[in-house]
Amino acid sequence: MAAKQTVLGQGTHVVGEVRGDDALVVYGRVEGRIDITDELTIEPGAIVQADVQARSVVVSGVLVGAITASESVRLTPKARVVGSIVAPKVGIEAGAGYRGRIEMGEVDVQRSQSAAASADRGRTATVAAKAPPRLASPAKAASVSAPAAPARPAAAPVAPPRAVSAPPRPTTVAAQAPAWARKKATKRR
Amino acid sequence: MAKQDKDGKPMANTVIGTNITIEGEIRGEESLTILGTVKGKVSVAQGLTIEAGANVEADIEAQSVSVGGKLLGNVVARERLEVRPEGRMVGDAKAARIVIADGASFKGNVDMDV
Amino acid sequence: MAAKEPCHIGSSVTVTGQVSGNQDLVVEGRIEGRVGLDSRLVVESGGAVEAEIEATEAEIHGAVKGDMTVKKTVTLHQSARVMGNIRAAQFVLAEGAQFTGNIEMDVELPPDVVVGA
Repeated sequence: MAAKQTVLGQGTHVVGEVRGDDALVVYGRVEGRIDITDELTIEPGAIVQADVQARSVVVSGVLVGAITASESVRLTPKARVVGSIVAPKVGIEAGAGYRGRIEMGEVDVQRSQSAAASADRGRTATVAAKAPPRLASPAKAASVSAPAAPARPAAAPVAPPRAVSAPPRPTTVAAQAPAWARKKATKRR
Repeated sequence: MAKQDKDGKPMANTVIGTNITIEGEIRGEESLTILGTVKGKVSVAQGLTIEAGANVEADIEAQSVSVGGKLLGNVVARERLEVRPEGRMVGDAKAARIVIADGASFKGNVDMDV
Repeated sequence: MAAKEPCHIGSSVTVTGQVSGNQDLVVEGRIEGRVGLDSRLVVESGGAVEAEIEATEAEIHGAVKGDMTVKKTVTLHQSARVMGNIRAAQFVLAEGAQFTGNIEMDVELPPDVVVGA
């Protein structure tokens, strides 16, 4: 009778620390800390006042505390969240209330064509040539592409792999912009 | 028996899975099933079930308590305490009715004078 | 809001300085400096804005670096790459968008939930 899922019901209030390797669904209330290697779901009506760490976190209730996820964090329209989010992927749906800092690792605002890149190989090549490989990229890629990695070493607090150590880069958009701008100009109607 | 929420779905009972540890206090208005590890204090308005394989180090207050796993701590049950054949309990028990099954292990004081 | 045609900053255009007005603004090119609109801002996926931004609404598909103050909704679409602090009534973040920064929004919490406890 091995339950793979732990449920804290509506009338249940935990003060302290919840940790382990099962998925956790909270309908009730938790104050303290949650540290699990599977998925954490905070249902509508639930109140969690805790720093939470999990593989992925889906919030539809109230959460006050820092969220760290090795894979993803999603706030649904009913979510009310105050606290930082550190995760490689974060989704916030319309209607969700959120206040705090979001960290997805280093954002490459310079490589302004990356979005359209997959749709336009030629341009990708141009951009790739312009943007030298950076130290931050492999680290970030690793954290995104290996999300199912069996969690963290037990002793390590918080922080999934992310590009913290990457030195802040000076903005070089200005220098690069004309190149892609010119390139794209030919495509204007 | 099972309570329902406003959508008519049965209300989720609280289950602490095999691979989960809770350190601290658990309070509940519904029943609680423990398959994992709990250290601290448990007080629930309804039944508490400690399944085989579970490991509980806590003082417990509940309407009824059924021990199939390991329990280290004192129990106050408003109705009934049962230590099942696979159960092992070390601690004082206070309950209106107490059952210690054949095969169970129990060490502690029993107080049925509620 | 602005019933006028939106203003386009074409992909080959770079504006350095301040852009202000009450006409919707669609950026396919580049703005550096300050954007102060009493209307909607759209940054297309090839567009880049490096500026302090004020607008009533913001739809970001491209790159933005700078702080945003928006009356209504800020939407970061899947292709968005944004660094900066955002203050808005509503914030929508599509999964896949890259964002690092602070979000300031009024969040209604249950009365017994204390922040900073």
